[in-house]
Amino acid sequence: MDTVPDPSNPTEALAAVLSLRRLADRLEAASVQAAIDQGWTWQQIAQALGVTKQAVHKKYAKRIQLSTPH
Amino acid sequence: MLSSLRRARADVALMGTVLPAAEHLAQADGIPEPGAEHLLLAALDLPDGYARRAFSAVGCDVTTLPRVLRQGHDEALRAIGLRADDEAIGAAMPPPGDASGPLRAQGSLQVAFARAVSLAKADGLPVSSGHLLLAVIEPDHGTVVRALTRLGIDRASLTRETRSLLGSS
Repeated sequence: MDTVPDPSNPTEALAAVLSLRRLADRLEAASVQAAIDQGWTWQQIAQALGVTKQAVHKKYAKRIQLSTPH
Repeated sequence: MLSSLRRARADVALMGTVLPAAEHLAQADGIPEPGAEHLLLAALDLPDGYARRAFSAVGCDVTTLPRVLRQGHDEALRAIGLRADDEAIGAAMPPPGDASGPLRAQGSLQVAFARAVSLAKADGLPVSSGHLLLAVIEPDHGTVVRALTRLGIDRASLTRETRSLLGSS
């Protein structure tokens, strides 16, 4: 199937929603780490994610391994 | 009274162990909020061993559970035509941070933990990995039940074995 599942099949549709959310979370965490590794600032990451710098910093600052000081 | 106080103290001690462990597992997975699947995996590591023994009693090797849970997500994504390089994403994941503690528990984890507390109270026992297991396998839908189905585990049998180990009805 190449389309989003029919919402009238909630078993399949809701399982897809849950897994899409998980994928988005995982991709975000890995990409923020990559962005920091490539020298992005928290401000730039926040802009790319459409959130505030404070929000992204609060979420990741304690986890992300800083390769260069920011 | 003393017994209920002891039980409450044991429950708080267990919360202080299993909830941060679930959060750690979730963060390692790239998920900000732990869910029932992380609570299940954390429960399997509790020293009381009830959950682990219950899985053994139904012939399940618990070391396969993390992989089967991941496969469930992959399968759900494939059903909508999406393939994600989960291994590459996992390899790029930042390390888990410090757990924020029990108070941040929410979502399916919070529901499951509250249910485990209620089941343990009904048994007159402190919350154990067995009660956590009973709570996470109770819902008819979700990641955990799909993993059990993939493993060919009958929920009723797993529930029965867990209750038998706990000596509860």
